[in-house]
Amino acid sequence: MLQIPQQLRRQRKLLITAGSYARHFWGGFAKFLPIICLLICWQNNVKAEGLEEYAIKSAITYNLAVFTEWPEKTFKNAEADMHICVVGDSIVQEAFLQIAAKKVSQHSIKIVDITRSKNINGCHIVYIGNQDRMLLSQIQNEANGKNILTIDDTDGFSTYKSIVNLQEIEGRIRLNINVNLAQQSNLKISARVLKLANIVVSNH
Amino acid sequence: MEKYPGNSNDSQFHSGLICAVSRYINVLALLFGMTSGFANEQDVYGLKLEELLNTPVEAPSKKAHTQVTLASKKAQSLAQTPAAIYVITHDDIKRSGATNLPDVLRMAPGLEVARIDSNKWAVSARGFNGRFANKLLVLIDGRNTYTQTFSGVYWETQDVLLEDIDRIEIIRGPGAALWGANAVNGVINVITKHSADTQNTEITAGGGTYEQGFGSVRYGTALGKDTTGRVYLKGSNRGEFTHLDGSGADDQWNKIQGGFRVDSLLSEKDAVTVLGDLYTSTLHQLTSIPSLTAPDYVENLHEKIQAYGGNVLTRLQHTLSADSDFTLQAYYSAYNRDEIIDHELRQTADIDIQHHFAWLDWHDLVWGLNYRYSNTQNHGSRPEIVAFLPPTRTDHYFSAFIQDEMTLIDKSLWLTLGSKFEHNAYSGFEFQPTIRLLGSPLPKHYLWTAISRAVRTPSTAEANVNYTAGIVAPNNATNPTPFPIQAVLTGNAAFTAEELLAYEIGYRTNMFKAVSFDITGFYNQYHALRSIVPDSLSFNGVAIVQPLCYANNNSGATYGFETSITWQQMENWRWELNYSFLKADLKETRQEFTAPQHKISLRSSINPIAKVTMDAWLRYTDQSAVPYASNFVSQFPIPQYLTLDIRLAWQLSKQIELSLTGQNLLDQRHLEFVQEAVTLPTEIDRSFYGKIVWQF
Repeated sequence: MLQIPQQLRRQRKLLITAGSYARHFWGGFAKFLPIICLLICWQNNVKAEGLEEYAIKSAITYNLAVFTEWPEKTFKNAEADMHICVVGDSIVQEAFLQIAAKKVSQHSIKIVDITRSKNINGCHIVYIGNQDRMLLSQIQNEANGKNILTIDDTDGFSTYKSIVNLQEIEGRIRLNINVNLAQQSNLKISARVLKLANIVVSNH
Repeated sequence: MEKYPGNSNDSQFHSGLICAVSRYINVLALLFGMTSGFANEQDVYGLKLEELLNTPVEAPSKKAHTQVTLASKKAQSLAQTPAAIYVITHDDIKRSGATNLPDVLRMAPGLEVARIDSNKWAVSARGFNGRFANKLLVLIDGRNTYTQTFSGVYWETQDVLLEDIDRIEIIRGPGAALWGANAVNGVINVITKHSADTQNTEITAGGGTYEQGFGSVRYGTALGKDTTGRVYLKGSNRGEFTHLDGSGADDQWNKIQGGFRVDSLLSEKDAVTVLGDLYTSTLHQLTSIPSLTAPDYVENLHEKIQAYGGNVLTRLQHTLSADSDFTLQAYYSAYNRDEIIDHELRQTADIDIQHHFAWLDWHDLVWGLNYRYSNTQNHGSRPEIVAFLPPTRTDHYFSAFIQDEMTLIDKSLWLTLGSKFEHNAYSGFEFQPTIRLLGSPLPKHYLWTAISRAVRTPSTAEANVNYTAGIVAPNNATNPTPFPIQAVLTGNAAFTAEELLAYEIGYRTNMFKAVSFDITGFYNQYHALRSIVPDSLSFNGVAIVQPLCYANNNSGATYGFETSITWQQMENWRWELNYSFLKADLKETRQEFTAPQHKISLRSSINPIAKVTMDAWLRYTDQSAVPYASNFVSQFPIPQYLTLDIRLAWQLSKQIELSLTGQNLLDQRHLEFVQEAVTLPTEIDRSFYGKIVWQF
């Protein structure tokens, strides 16, 4: 039989004391068991934890950039910047700056804040993130026929649509894609995206 | 192991304890939102589209991003608003179980909402509450609901289809620099949805103990290219509450209201909105008024008040250039109200223009002009008790405002300067400036401060009324004379505007992933507040008349703070805690409402299983006291109360939702407020109702 060193014995004693305290502690917590269970449930739920609205929306925009085909002439060359023009407050702008470091095939992304100027010339994507229906319709009117992918997140089922509309329904983002408008702008949106979206056919 | 037998258990226990402790710490950390868990902002850009579309959107930050227009007459995000602003969303309203506008407003911190009886409410911000509260401006889709007779709001006649509300914006503190007189302690705008967002049919029906039966139909449709519209009709039949002695308060009422809204895009630069409502309502009331002929000088009457009215509003928005736009709004509203003491017919017409433009890259300017026409006819059937002199009055209001929001440091410091200039027939020219500074030293942290001046202009009553508030019987200790003493509140043409100088400071953050936090402190300094001064006695052959004249002799300060915390505990469980503290230090306290010092609202919204939602709403209101006309010497005390509402809803299918709501569950009944005069103290009963919503 091996001798337990004195030091360890003292440690063990301490641990047993700590253990009894701990048991006492947890015993006291027994009445809060349902709450603790819920908290643990929640901890297990962390994977499904939510993200900030514009983190998701900018990431979706990035995905749309990847899965949309612009006519060849749109970019000067394979390395030319892709301009993502954003209308929205600082919360929206900050979220979009996170995708500026990314690349879409060979194109570097450049985020342009057009909230003030509203100048869509040179934009490949225009994101309208301020719930302004008037502006949405003006920009869409101007973008019509140009090779610009217009995206908005105006709440509700808007009649003044851009090519892509992001809708929050029951805490998840849903895609509405107007295929006629996309065709008019000579943009090919990948079937991979279309199969995840609600397809809208415009009547004009 | 072999080396130290017997220690294995310990080490297991040890690691178990460490695990438990670390798990616990982890839970605590998550509890306070200090770690961002698995899915953080960096990972999101690596997610596939399928995963992105399946990631829940965080609720608190969504609210912080809500676009609000009340604070600056142009869209801005809530987080970046340099004012004590709070937004009640469509979802909040739906899940509250509230069936009327004032009850919905109980969700907002710093607002005092008290039910007087079945068909009356008292609503105010930061004190000074009353049935005839006069320091809060209430707008519905930009239309002023102000009643010039008492500078306040008849809440029972203000209604919209709650299902069609997009959001309610509430500012505590002065909004007078933009909205003008009356926006002294707060501004509320109820904003209904764009008609493009209500393009379906929705039918609701329900009933219960107090809500004896209610229903609504709304139909939305496209009316052409870029033109959408909707029409609605709603009705309700509400029961009576209970007097303090347990007898029925005879305050049941019913109401039918219908309306429409059309939105059209005339060109890509012009949008037009036209909306309107009509209502008719029967309000039962046990009226208790002084009388010189009744045996004990009090006349009690069961009356059925007919109240009907309507409004129509049109708004044209025109874009001049990329950074300049113009809005023209006009409305007409009218109502009629037949109370024994006052048959009131009021007509209001209002025209408003507004121009918004950017200048020199760092200025954002809004200016506007407004004209309002107001015509009132007040004829009561007891002119010896209540009379307006003159009974018919037409008033004209002119006003202008300008506001400049300057970006001092890009993305971190903004300064707003603005003022309203107005002229009214009662107090003449008024000047109501504000200066506001907003700073964002770190992303997601916003600190703001403001100094503002606001005035509350006199009401018709304060200028023109002759109102017998009470009669003291003869031959007793209080009145040893053989004649009754008639105490008459007497209008004073020299009564001037009440003034406020408000100092505010606020902070809000949504830095924590699951938590958003907002706090505002204020110090309000009031001058020339309304007071009541006895004038010299006279004798009219029947009674000794004691005139009580309106004067501006009261003054003082109120201070306090309001805080709101939301916590998304889990994806399917959300909490919101609001706490408001208010203290008043007025020269004359008996003539004003003594506000509750502490108010708490705690809401829990949980979706325990798919398609089921469960909401609990606990409210605490500290004791308060009301000046009560039958007792001029002391105030009527209102005890503190704690109450609870619970709503349970089941989404049966995509089309149908069933819900069950219990209101004021903790007591059989409780007292919230007592009207200043005319009605008896009435308690609010516990109630239940069920509801079905059918959408197709």
